Amino acid sequence: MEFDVPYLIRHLPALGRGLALTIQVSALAIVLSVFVGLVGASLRVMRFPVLSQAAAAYVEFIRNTPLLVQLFFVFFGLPTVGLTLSLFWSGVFALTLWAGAFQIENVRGGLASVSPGLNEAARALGLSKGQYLRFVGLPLAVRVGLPSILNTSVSLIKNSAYLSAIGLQELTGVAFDRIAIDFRAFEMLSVLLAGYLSVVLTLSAAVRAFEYRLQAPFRR
Amino acid sequence: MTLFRRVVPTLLLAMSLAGPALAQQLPPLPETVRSQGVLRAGVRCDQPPYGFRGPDGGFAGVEVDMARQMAAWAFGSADKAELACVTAENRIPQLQARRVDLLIATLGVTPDRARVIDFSDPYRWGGSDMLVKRDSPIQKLDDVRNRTVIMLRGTTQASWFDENMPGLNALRLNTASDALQALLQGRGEAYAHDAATLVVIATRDPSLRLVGKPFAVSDAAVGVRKGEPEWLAWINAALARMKAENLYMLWVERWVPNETRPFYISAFNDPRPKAR
Amino acid sequence: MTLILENLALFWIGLRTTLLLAFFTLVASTVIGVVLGVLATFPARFLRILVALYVETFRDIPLIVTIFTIFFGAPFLGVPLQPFPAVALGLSLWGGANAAEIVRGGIQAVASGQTDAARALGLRRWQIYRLVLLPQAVRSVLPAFTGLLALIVQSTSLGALVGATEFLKAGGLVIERSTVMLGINPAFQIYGFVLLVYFSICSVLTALSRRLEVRLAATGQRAVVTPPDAASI
Repeated sequence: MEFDVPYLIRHLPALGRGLALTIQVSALAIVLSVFVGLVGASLRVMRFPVLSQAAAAYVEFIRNTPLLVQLFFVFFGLPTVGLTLSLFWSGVFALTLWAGAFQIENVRGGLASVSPGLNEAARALGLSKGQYLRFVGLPLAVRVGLPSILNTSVSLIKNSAYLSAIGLQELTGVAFDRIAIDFRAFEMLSVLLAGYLSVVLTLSAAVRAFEYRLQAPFRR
Repeated sequence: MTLFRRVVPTLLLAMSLAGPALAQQLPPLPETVRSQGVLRAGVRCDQPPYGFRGPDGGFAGVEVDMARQMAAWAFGSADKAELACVTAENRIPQLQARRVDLLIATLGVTPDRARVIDFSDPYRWGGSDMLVKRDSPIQKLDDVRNRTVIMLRGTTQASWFDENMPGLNALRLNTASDALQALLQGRGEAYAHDAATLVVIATRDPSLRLVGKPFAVSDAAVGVRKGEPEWLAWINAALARMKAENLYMLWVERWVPNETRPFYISAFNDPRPKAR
Repeated sequence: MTLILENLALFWIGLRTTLLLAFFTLVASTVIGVVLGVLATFPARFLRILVALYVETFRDIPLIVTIFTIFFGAPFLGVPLQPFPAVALGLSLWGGANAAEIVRGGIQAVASGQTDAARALGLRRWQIYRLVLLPQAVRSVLPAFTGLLALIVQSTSLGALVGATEFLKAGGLVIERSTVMLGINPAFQIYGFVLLVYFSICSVLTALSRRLEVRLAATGQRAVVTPPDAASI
């Protein structure tokens, strides 16, 4: 079985553009999903009558349904009821929706580990629950929950590969398109495997290193 | 007396020559296929009039009829055709994965494909065209250079645009119905596919029109795995018999309405024209 | 709604394939997971590294890429794999990686005093595993395995992309048929229906997983192995 290196080199620019798109989509979705996580966790904690249950239901629904089906629903289903998002934004939206649910749980976990004494002290000082969250609770929660938040973000980058199923020309999409035209599966798949392995491995290692540093004040 | 002696041998000679031509014997079926008991063919389920879903939801189309005819010749009955829906993207992998033994699936002959599978003799040619909304400003091929074009992954159109307009903003989807929906929803300004299919869609939907400038003309052939010469020989013989017995006309008449018939008939009968 | 009822037969075929895929994957993943998980707890360092390599590889590569690699690559290696086996293999390799982590965690969570005591009693290594470690690990990994099953069921939807007619693909076929023959596009309703069915199945499994965790805690044993989250695969 030959490995056509010149072929690969010829298509590296296209693959590079795909990788850039992967990063773009992922970065946007990560930022938005963390925002969703902060808002959602706050909603749960503040126990608003309808919104809190809605947030809980949203998390349950996303965690128990496949990302691919969620993606198809957003890209193929929403337009038929009037909401047509572009290819790029459908991808960002679906990834945000999916990761947001997990970020809510990550932030909630962080909040749970914040000592209740802090909450009482804040109340004693006259801060409302919302102000407590904004200035004390959430920042601490994020610090504690940062490893899980980052891990979910790395998973998001990995799962951006699903967007190839709706035709987005991110890294996997570019590779699959080339395979469909040239049939050089071996070369393209090697690039994909190497690409994702190196990106995810590096990022996971970085997260672990970061986690270690975060623990510094608590280590003796 | 002498007349009789002159005419009869000539008649006998003529009949003996005509005999084999009438019988149109096909070569023997390879053992690997015969042992299956059924003809496993990959066909399209989203491309009228060649392969699509009929009114009852079953397989329908000219190529489906071709597959059924081959099954009848191979195993004695059209019911011995085991058909599987394939998409442009997965048809060749399905063939290689041995899910089907042949592809009659609007498969265009290209050098890249010829590297991984074998083609039969072409049975028709086909060109590509584009579908746009009726009020679209697109009048010719070059008008799409700065717009989004919808096409299917793994098709000759995908290859053609990749080669001829590499910077194009192409939206590559998986099935013809997805592509049509995308066009109607405004995700792209043009939908490029086999002219044969677009003609059918355009006649059905007055809000769309064909750009009408064909490009990427290629032959369509049956696809088989490499290294199966007996099977290929059988298929070629079957295709030749279909042509000789004028069966293509029968099937085109069955699936194509009157107005557009000449277009399809020429695809089967006339040699391939030159286009961009 | 009537569209769903009319196509119930097709949906059922799809669902059957989904469940079959999930079942095979669960069995294969468990086997792989137990073997690798046990190996990962051996003192030999190269074994632990080997298992870690396998686990990292199949957890870091997107599952869609793994399945496509098997489906497209297998014929080139001379092993033609039809869609169902290709998806089953890909899912099993991935599921096995997750299962290995669960099993490893479960074994390591069994108090080390147990291993010392067993050795003091003169039990040999395989006996320690079989009689002491694994039986205790089994109970503590059940919640995590149930969670993994929920993820496996969800992951079978990837089969739609290589031509396996599982539940998601069945939905796609119904939409295609309706769009072409009836002129209406029911994508919203059909994909919504598909989501609801997946939700019904997986929420039961997730709830079961949580129940098992609670019951485990009641007996004093903590399920130290956290169920794999879809976000951490």
